[in-house]
Amino acid sequence: MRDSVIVQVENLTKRFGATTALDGVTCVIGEGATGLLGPNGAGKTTLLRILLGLLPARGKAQVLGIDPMHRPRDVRRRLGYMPESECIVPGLKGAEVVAFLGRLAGMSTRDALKRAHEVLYYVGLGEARYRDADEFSVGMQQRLKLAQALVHDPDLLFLDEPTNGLDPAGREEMLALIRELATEHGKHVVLSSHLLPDVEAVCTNVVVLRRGKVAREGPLRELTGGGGGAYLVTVQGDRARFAEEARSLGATASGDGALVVTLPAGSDASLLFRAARASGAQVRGLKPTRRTLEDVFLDAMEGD
Amino acid sequence: MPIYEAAYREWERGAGTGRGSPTLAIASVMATRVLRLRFVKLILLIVIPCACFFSFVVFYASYGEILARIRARSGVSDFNMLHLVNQQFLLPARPFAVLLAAIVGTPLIAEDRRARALPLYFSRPITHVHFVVGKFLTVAFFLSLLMLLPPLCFYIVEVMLSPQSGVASAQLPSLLRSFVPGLVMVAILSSLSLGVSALFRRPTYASLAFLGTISFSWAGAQALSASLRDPAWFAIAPTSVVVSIASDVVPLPPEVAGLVDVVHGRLRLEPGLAWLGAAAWVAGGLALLSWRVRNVEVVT
Repeated sequence: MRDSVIVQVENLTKRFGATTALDGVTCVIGEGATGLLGPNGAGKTTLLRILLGLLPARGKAQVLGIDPMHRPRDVRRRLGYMPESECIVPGLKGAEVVAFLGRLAGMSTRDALKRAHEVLYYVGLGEARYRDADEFSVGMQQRLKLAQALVHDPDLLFLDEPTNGLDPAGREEMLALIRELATEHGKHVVLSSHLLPDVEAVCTNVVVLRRGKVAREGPLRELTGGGGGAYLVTVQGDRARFAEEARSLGATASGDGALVVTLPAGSDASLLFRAARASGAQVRGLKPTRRTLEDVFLDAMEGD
Repeated sequence: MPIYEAAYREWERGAGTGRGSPTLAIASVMATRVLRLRFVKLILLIVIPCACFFSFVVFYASYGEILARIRARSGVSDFNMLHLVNQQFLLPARPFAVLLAAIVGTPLIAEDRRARALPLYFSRPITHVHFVVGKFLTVAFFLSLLMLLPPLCFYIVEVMLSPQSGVASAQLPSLLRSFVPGLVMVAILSSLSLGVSALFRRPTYASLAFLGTISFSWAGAQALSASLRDPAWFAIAPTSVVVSIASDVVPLPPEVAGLVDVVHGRLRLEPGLAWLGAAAWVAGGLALLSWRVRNVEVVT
């Protein structure tokens, strides 16, 4: 396994009775922030739980070079997990929850308490440290969950829907914290979400799951780069005929004002000028445009 | 750290940093959580002393006749009276122990399940054994206060009131032996209350189910002793089996044991069977607990 490979799974299969949650998943997650995308029921949370060593599964998996199914405690020692659901250790104050979970990660009582105060300040809960965690709002609970995932200074963070229930400002702050952890503090982050803008804002790599299988994976920049490229084209003359000529050359063209023309794989911008010449129109503007993550996601959902 | 300097920094793993025990972390934090409940403080400050006092009162009320007979006999020393106390004090203390287990033990896992805290625990490098033992120690600590303090009080009172200087060392083995049935009771009630707790998400339901389990086991033991036509089998119930164990661990001279049997009827199982029964109750509770916390749906 290469040093830059953080998580590697091979032919991972998990069944719950007659339901197949993961069906031969094979993928590699590298350094930095990686988005785990998929609709509800795609198998994102199941994959994270297997990688945490909470669920047994068929196939091979390695997290930070350790097999989570045979050495789960070694994996969890180096990993911070922020669960999706609202969860809290009841009956404790904010600082006590984080310190307690730090102690469970092997820290001494004194270190855990000191560190709990630090991470609570970092996530913006410094003033609420001594309030009962049961009384925290949803947004505060999300921050508390991030704090407990960070308390033992893990190398890798599994964040399952971290912006659930947050208002727009809270969401932005949470994403900024995660981005900072990934870019400035060298944490490897696996961000599981069905919110495409969240993943786009934080991640450099993406794994898209669909019905328990990997539908797309790779660097976000490559995935949104498209096959032959897409252009925003402004033409003078008969737009409809230009679009028709472009389509006849294998491109797709759409749009009311400026046309968005996606070239077929292996073609370049000269195709547009051939279409313009054939249609008698003039190309007055040509601007490369990128596919969005939503396009990639929708393509992946239509796959197979 | 001041807010204006708040930024993520790596944890400085100092040379003096020792590795904490997850079991002790769970036990101590759960004990803190329990003590934070106002009514538990009430139990500890009022009910336990009352239970101790009540135990004395009931003991002297129940055994007044026996004590009078022992005193009347020549050759039966005060020594045997402490034996008798150590062996029999469990009888009136048992309902309080059941109540304390229902209040302290049954919410411990049910509350965690309600708050979905188990994924947080098990995302840490702990095993199911750490979790189970940590919770067990929490309940056992509070029950031990109730089950072990009264014999200690008897011992201290006797040592302080006795004109003989050697009574402290002479009675110490009896005191230590009297802890054994108390600890067996603690183990049975702790494991049972936690096992039942792991079945529910609502602490109230868990408490009611635990009290129901104790009640049904009494009824079952009654039915068993009736069907076998031997009253001794009534002692197979979880809170009764310790009385037989107490008879085994803190043996009374035959004449005193005979007097107890005359007054209260013989309810004691054979020692081997009593120990087997106690082990079965503890194992049953722990097996139930272990099965639930190993259940994927419960943990995740």
